[in-house]
Amino acid sequence: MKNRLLVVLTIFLIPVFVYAHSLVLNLDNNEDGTITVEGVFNTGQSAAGALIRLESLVSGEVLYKKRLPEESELIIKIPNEPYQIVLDGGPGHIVVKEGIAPSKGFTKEVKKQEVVQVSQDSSMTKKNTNFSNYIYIVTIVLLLLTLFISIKNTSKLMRQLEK
Amino acid sequence: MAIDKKTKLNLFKQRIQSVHVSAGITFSLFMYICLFFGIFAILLPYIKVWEKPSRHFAPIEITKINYSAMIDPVISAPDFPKNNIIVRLPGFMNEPALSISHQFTKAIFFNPSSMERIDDEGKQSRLALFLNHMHYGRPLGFLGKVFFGLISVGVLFLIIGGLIQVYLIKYGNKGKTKQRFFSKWHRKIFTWVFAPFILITLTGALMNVGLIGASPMAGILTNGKTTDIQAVVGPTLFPQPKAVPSLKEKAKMLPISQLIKKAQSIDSDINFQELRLINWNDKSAQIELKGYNPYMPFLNGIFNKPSIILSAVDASLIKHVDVMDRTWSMYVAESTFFLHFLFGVDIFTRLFITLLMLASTFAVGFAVSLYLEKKAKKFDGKIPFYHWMGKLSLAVIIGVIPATGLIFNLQWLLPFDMQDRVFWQQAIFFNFWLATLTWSFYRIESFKAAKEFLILGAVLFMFAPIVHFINSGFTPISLFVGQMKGILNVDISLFIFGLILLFVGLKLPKTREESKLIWNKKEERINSEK
Repeated sequence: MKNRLLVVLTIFLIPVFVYAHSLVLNLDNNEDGTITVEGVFNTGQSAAGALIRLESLVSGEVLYKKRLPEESELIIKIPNEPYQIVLDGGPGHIVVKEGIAPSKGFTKEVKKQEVVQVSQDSSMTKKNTNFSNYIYIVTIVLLLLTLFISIKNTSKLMRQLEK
Repeated sequence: MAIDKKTKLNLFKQRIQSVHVSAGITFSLFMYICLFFGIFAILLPYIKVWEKPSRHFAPIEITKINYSAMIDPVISAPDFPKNNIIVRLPGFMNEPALSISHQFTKAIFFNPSSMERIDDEGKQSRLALFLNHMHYGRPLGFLGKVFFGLISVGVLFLIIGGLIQVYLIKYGNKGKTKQRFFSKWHRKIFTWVFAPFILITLTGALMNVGLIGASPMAGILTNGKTTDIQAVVGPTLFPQPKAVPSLKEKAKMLPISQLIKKAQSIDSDINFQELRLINWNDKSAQIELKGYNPYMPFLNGIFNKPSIILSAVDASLIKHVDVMDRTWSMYVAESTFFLHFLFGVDIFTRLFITLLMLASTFAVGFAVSLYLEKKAKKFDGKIPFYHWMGKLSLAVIIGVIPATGLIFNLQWLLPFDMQDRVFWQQAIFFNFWLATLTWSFYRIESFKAAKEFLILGAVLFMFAPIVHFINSGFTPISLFVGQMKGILNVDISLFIFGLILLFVGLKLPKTREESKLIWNKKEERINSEK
């Protein structure tokens, strides 16, 4: 019985979570030192006009930048250094994928710089979270106070009723 | 023993009443939150302008704007897309600014009178949006939205059940007891407003649970190609325009204000809201002007936007899409969602729907009061009525008023460059609202707490415009003289709302005993008149 309930819930809830109107970034290795980058919406709509950026994972530099033409795809030469491809569809619509390596591999390596950047970001977030914790403490105090007052007043009234 | 027809009917009436009461009290407070914040959501376009210092300027007539002075520098930037540029005209949803954007870029805002770029507050100012989000449970995330959607489904059953009861049961409207008063007005209001109310609730349910739960249906319809309902309905509701091939030949564009005038001469019924610039500065350049035809409500405004496409080179008409040129499915969607979205409608329609929603909040309040009054009767003459549902209802229904008044004050009290400004504003709002629950439990006499909340709410709502005047640097006179009447009207409305709250707060009896005396006097008066 429990299993049946689980199956029914799964059937109804999975589609709920997969529902989204999002951008999809497709990459194809053309095996000739170039890649085909395609951007489309998962609804099948064209993403012509969205910005494609190739960013170096070594220096963070933008290696290539162009908007998708009407055909929604671009053929781009593979860089010599590790890179990531960013499909920038404006606020809330950014897809990032690691770039395909050339057949002979990259000539440069990723430095630790990227890791440092990430850890800096997370420490910022931690600081903000600590600050906002005060708000949650106030919330918990108010809830506990409500419970305490409720119990106290109920007992007072119960005593009054017993008289 | 066989039960006769009359007994069966009586049993049915009793059961339907019990179900209505149990379901009603379960959904009532959530429904109230939906309605209360729904009122602010209806007035969202006005609050959105009031809340932002960058929007404190006079609106301008769309044919008197020098568009190229703003558009040319934006589209000449190397990174900005050159095709399908969206220009949102000032005046749409009461927005005085002109915005230039593309599907894949952030909007750039301009003051159309001074032609200066506006430093938009962006995510630092989200009061109107937050109030709208509260309307459909978004602060609780995805689950909040689904939950509020399910509440709407429950409310639909309540409406149908309520109508069946009104039809089957002969309720007496005479007498002046509190219970009769609450029962009478709960029924009366919902009988009057049920038709638009059912449409608004149905669309609310559709948006929060219907669309996201329609994936299995989308899968069946497309033979498993997609589970995204948007992919199925999107091409009909939002047909993608065909790409216009560029001639790769530079050409001089006609002034946009001239093109707008031409479009207005072709179809004077359309209030133009948005422009789409196609292949701009090319010989093949076109301009699509979309809008709303106020003479055909329920048939256009949301999905169906009548439009005119002109050549940007010689202003010749390329295409004219009228309100009635769409498919029937578009009209079904349009008429169903029209009352919920109210896109492009005038202030009078918005105020009319606001009044309907306000009446509905009262109707819900009366229903909760009726339930609590029945419970309270059991304790009459023994102890004061102290029930968790009563206290929770008090905090939700009345406590939300000062909390909302506070958030309006915070909008102009917190510096706009403050870090995590919106987080603090919302956190203070929620904690203040929670504090009203604590206070409701602290005060044994709920009437006293209600009186305090109403007076505090009154002070906060009356104070909000004053804080706005001081911190924005605009006085009521400068707003009036500067043609910023929309902003001034929000200030006046907040102040009047505060005054009404003050009047009600002062009139409200301090204790339940005092309230009983007032109702007894009313009943005695009616009896003596007989």
